[in-house]
Amino acid sequence: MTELSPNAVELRAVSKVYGASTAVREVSMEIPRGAFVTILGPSGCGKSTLLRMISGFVTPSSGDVLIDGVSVVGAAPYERDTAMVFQDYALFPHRTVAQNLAFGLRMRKVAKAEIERRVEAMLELVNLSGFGDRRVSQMSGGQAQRVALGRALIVRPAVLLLDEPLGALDLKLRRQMQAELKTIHRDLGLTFVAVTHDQDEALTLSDRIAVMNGGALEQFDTPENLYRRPATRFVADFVGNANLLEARLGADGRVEAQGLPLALFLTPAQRGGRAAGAAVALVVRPETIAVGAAAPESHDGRVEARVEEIMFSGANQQIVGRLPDGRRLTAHQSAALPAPERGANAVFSWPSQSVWLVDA
Amino acid sequence: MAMPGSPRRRTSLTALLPTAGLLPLVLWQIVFFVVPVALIVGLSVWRRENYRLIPDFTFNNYAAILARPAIWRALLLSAETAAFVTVVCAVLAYPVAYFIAKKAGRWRGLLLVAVIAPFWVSIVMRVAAWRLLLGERGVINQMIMALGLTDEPLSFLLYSPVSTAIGLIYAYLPLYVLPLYAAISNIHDSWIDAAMDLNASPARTFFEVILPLSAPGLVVGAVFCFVFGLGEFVTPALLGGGKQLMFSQVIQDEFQRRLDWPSGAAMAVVLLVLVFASLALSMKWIRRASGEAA
Ligand SMILES: Nc1ncnc2c1ncn2[C@@H]1O[C@H](COP(=O)(O)OP(=O)(O)OP(=O)(O)O)[C@@H](O)[C@H]1O
Ligand SMILES: [Mg+2]
Repeated sequence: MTELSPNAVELRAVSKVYGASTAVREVSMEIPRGAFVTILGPSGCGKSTLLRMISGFVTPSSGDVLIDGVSVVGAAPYERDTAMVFQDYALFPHRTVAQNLAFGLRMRKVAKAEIERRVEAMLELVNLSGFGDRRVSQMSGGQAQRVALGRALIVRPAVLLLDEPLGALDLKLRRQMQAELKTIHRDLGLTFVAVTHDQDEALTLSDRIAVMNGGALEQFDTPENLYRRPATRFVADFVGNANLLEARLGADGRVEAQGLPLALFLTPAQRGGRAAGAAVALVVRPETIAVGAAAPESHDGRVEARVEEIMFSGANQQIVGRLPDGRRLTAHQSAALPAPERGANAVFSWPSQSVWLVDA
Repeated sequence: MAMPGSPRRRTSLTALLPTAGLLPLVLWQIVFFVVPVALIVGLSVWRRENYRLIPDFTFNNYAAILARPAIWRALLLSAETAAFVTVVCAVLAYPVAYFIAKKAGRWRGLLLVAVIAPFWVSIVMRVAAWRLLLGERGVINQMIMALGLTDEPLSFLLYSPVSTAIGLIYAYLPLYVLPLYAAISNIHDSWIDAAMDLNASPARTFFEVILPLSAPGLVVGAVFCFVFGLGEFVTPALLGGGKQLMFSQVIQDEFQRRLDWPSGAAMAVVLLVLVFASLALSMKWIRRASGEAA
């Protein structure tokens, strides 16, 4: 046997052009074996197209797709070792649950006894023991979702592709299925690539997230890095909530946020090699901001703003402040802390080490 | 025992109201189907003496017709022709229906109209056109001879069971395309994708997913073709040549030439029973097929 590539999937400058519009633009990414990767982005940014280029339903206009280190461009979907969970589940209506599960194994010419054994095991894994003889039309949304997942998992593909797998479920069921999906991924050790436009889902599920925008890959990184060290303004804004303050880098690590008297000192890592005078946006996460009559000692970023709105959401409160120049600043803090008075002025402050810069 | 205006009475009334919309249909069926059929069935147990109809209750007519070999020959020819036409129509209609449902895109509407278009031309005109094509001096024979494939014109093309079959295939093709189109349109592309994704080759995908899910359309189309083919009169009368008679022609002969109405009625009842039997059989299939597709 030749040595296996450490990557289950590798994309090399993959593009897909439809007539005048480019659905996917020069995307390169390496998906390590056993990883759980989500492709995250707004509607129409090319997520499904990218996934379908891995599964073989879409042929790239240029670039290369490798599965287990082997180029599969030109290989039909039925010649690839991928399995897909479709957004509408795409369960075969003329087959029972067990027959749906068995389908991929039959096509791969697995022996009958082995198929029966694996179908039973899969029914158990996806919590559907005893449902094997049901028609798929009798399944609820969550159950159908599990059948679709099981039907793809059972062939033990080199990579499991999920196109908005939980998109059709209500919020509660979705949370539950997210947990199950994660457990199954950990237990089986297969490579999962999921598409979603729900950033919470991406953050909870995956080891790595590929954020796409307008067909291009903005950043491919761990959830924590995406959140703490977004590479672009788009990522900062799309992943989690962010206050983005236009600013200019001063000399010796200071920041001038357009007239705001900020005395922030940024480390070289935070400055990211940018020269003095560079136009940047300051990314300040709402939960790093404290609101009060005075700033805590450690918070060196401070501005005074008028408290415009206070919204309680159980454990937290969201406080919206308006700066003198009209810009808004949102803070999240524990509802246990005293709330400022609406309409009054308060100090919004944050520590400079929690700040991140992106190009404006 | 419910009082007028009591809740129970009112619900049964409101439940009946929508059903009242069916009334014209029911009346239509009674006037144009139930009454004629009842008349035919009644007539089939009368007897004929000296060219006069005498009310009776006898099955002699049935015994008499079933003892005539010509009846069995005609019945067999009708069934064979209908079956042949059905199979050929299925084979021809499937790719057409599949293309319109899955590949035609924005041309779909236009193509469907094109499929139905022959219905707008009177059957007599269509048959006349076939005569022009199939006759001994017809277009096809002229072409074959011009190409030097034969010296003599092919005589079996017109006025034979072959020409009847050709005419019927042409006439029934739309009847098969439409239900097939409906069934194939209901097959989601993602089911086809899912099969391929799970390593089914295109051929395997066809036999495992597409064909089974086309079954409702296949059965409905087959019923249309077979039932119509079994009782078809105009096309065999105009194209069949009259040497080998189909069952409907024998019935007509019985009524009009032999003037033996009770026997003709008995034959018609036999045909009716056959039609209902194939309908009942296919209903079972359809229910099974559509139960699977639901
Ligand atoms: N077959 C096609 N022909 C032409 N344009 C297409 C085709 N498929 C996709 N596109 C276009 O490519 C772009 C990306 O589509 P894609 O389906 O990949 O988006 P997406 O990120 O999955 O969006 P969503 O979240 O809405 O599913 C869209 O602008 C879409 O209109
Ligand atoms: Mg999509």
